[in-house]
Amino acid sequence: MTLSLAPLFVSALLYLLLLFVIAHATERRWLPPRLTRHPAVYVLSLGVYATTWSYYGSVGFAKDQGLLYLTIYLGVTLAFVLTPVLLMPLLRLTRTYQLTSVADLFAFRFNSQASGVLVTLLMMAGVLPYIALQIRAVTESTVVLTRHDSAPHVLAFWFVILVTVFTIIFGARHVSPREKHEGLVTAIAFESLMKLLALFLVAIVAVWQAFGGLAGMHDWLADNPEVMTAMYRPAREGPWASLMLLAFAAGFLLPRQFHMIFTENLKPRQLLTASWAFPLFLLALTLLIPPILWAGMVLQPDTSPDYYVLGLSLQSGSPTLTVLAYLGGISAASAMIVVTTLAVSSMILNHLVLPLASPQPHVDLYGALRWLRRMVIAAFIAAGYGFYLVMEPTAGLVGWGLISFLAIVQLLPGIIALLFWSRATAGGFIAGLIGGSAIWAFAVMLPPLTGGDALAWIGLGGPDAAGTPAVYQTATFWSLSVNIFLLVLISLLSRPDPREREAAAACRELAPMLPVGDLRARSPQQFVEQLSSVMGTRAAEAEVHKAVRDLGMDWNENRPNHLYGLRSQIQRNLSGMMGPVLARMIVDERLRVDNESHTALTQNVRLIEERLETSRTRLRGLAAELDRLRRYHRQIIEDLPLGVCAVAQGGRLVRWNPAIARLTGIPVNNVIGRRLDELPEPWGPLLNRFLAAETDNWHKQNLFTEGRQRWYSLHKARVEEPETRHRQSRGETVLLLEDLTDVQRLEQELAHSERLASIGRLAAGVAHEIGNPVTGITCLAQELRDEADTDATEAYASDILAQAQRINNIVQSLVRYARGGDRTARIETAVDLHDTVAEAMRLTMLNRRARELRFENLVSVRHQVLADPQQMLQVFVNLLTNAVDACDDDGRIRVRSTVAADWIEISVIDNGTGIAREAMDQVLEPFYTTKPPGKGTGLGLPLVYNIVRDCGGELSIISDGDGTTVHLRFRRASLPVAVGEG
Amino acid sequence: MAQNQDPGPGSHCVLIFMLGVFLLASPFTTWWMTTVAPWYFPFVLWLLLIILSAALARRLIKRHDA
Repeated sequence: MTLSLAPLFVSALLYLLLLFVIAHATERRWLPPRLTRHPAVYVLSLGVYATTWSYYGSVGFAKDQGLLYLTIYLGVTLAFVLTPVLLMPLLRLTRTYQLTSVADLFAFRFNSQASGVLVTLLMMAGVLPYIALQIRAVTESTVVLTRHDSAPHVLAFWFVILVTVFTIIFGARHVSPREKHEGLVTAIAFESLMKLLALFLVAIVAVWQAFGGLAGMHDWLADNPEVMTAMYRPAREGPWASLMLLAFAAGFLLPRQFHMIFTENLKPRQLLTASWAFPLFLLALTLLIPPILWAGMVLQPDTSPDYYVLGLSLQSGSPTLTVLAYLGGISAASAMIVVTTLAVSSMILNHLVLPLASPQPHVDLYGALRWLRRMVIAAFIAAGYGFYLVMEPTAGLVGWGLISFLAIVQLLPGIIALLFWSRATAGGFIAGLIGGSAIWAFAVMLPPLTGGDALAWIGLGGPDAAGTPAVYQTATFWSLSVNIFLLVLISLLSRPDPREREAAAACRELAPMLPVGDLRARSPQQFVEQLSSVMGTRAAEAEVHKAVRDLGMDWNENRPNHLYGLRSQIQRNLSGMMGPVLARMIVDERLRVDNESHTALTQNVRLIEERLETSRTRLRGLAAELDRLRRYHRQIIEDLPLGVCAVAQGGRLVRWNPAIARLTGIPVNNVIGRRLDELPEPWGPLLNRFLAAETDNWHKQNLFTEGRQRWYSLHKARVEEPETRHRQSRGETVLLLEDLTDVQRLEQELAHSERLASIGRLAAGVAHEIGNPVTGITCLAQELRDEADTDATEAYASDILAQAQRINNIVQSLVRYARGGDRTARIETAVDLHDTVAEAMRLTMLNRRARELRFENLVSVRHQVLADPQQMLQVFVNLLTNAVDACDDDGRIRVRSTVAADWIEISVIDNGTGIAREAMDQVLEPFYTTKPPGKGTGLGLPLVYNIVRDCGGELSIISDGDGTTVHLRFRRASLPVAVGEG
Repeated sequence: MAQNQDPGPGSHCVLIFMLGVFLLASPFTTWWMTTVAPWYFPFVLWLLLIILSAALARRLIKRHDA
């Protein structure tokens, strides 16, 4: 059976259109993101590793070299086994620093444009033949199916055009490769599925046709033991370990692998899933190769073993299976070309084109980058097509693949140094790469093209070198040996510059160097202004806004450490767009750091702490102990009841403990990195003035905060630099803030009490001295009244007596108040409350006005309290008198009692005018009265309060417009035992 | 600022890697090739490595999500 060209061409065209649709549907969200972002899609997209070499060529490779074909997949498996220590750190690096290709990775690590250029050139040289190989496989497979009824170059041309269009549309729609291409990834995953399905169907049909089933195949193998021997012998004698090493490196360093594993990764956990799922995919794919080979050996299709997959499907007589098998090959070739081109075009743009054509401010940066990328993609695929045209079809499909692998493995020493050896230098890496690549070029790359054998003296070279896997053992050994030797030697002989050391630390997940100066730009807007001169205003605004958004930062942010973070984020974003070296160059040149200004250790304390807190690796040994010590010391400051803030040079706050956050009401997140004068009133001005003051202590600063008056003490001390031998201050200060409000209030109350006590003592003395003359005046006035001969004289005498009585009342009040605190004179006994209240009511009603009011004694006859009976009587007389004065004519005064455990609570309730709110705080003060002048002394309630307090009781007053209630609380006296009881 | 770091359970992958090297790239490999083991034998060894990697990945994903 043969197929004509037209249906094949149409089916290939329709298949590629289907890929367009899948990619488009993914990007338009027509396919659910839950499906397109599933880890399985990511895993399948890594299947781009299996090119036409795997799809077609593995059968031929297995025919010639037996199980050696497995090494190409076992090596990858071993690389993926090391995912946690090899691939995850690389993923972290590429995500954190927006490194989109392996050239970016090395240029970043060694801070060297030359490293990026060399890696790019090596990748181009290594993968161009590989791309040509894919084009050749597509044309050859078409030729196989049409029995030479087609023009290969024309087929290749149209295939290349279609793939180029697909790559440009779905791979270069974003300005920067840092953006994920979800549509492309889904399409590549679909292609992997297609490869697996097609190979599986071909294997099943072929085995059934050749052997009648798996049992038949095993019987055939048992009958032909030489088949298994032929499978094992080349593996035993061939370059098994060397090929595994090549595949180990290729598994993650091939441009297409690096792109799919790292650049298109959506979540790190996807890579952990891929660490086992991707090898499982490869196992499923390669498990089908031996049955296809053996079926081919039995059925003998009219093709070379490289194309048994097609030959067997043709022999099955099923056009559907044949087209499916053909499309599987198209999948393998197109996926490889698309992804490889994307990855290499990014390297070419970042390391070959942009360094020569730097961004211009008057040119639309994004537009220019987009068009440059498209041109590079077209040019690179065209170069692959050109290589296909000049490439002699001497080597099998496997040969050019292995040549590519040997180029890739030259990066392995650099990767190991990148991850594990900080001492490696750019010079060492470049020397090693040049040495290893030279051996690669002269040993396996050039001989098939030029026929040269320059390295024959070490067992390498020769025109057929690429076709024999054995040569890769020697070539791998020599190229890697020279590479590693030069890398180590030159690295040890040279010194890394500070930036290289910083990048090396970042690669090893060590803390990068701390900022050593202040940024000249003071706000994101100034970032835009400074970047505009090199990128143009539109791009500068877009990039700064993006970085601000990425960090969740406020546009008005001006804290130096936050701005430094913004600078780093902009550098990372630019790195994703134009490579790490150019990004660093732009940022260093435009967003300058003032190295002359010294950034103190204290200013970086927060940064160091954040790094330690967010570090995903656990510290151990001495580092862990030091970290515990740091946490302990920090906790002391955090738990201090005193407010602590540390101020670095320039008045920037670097420490703000919870106590000061509570005292000031300013949360820590709003403070760190700000200047003191940016703090809100009254704290900013206060702390700023104190910082500038000559004295180190300010006592009892009076502030009005939160609607009330408060008192604070402030202390400060200079902080000395801990590392300096001669201890000296570097301008950093620690401030302590102490809230003295409660102490101040206590002191005021104490002073007030002292003053009142003095008044009491004075009053007692005065009362005693005044009492005698008043008694004399009263006696004389009485005599005058009794002996008065006229009514007028009697009236004058009565007035004198009334006024004298009034003086006497005041004097008695003073005496009672003065004696109120005299505990020694008091006799505490069980006082019957009901009787006392009744007596007090009786005495009160001696007043004529009181008799017009209604009194209710609701006190229980069983309630007794421990107190002095006379003082208790005085308490109730005073309270009832006050109530009478407060009530109108329809006044009602009630006294009632309740029991609460060991306490008795008594309430004196009136429905009078109540006490004004502003007077409530003062009614217990001596000499304060709300009554009209001459009506009250202001000593009644203070006296009550003193008596209650001295009895160990409590007094509280509740008053509103409906009256006043005075609550008294006394300790309950135990009930007396009734006479006659028991 | 140098730090001593504990790589955590991720370092167990090195043990699986060493087992993989032992099974697939050592004199042991040459031995089982010499015995002309069944054709699927290498795939069984390969599957063993995949299962171990899957178990480790499961642990790491749990730790990653925690």
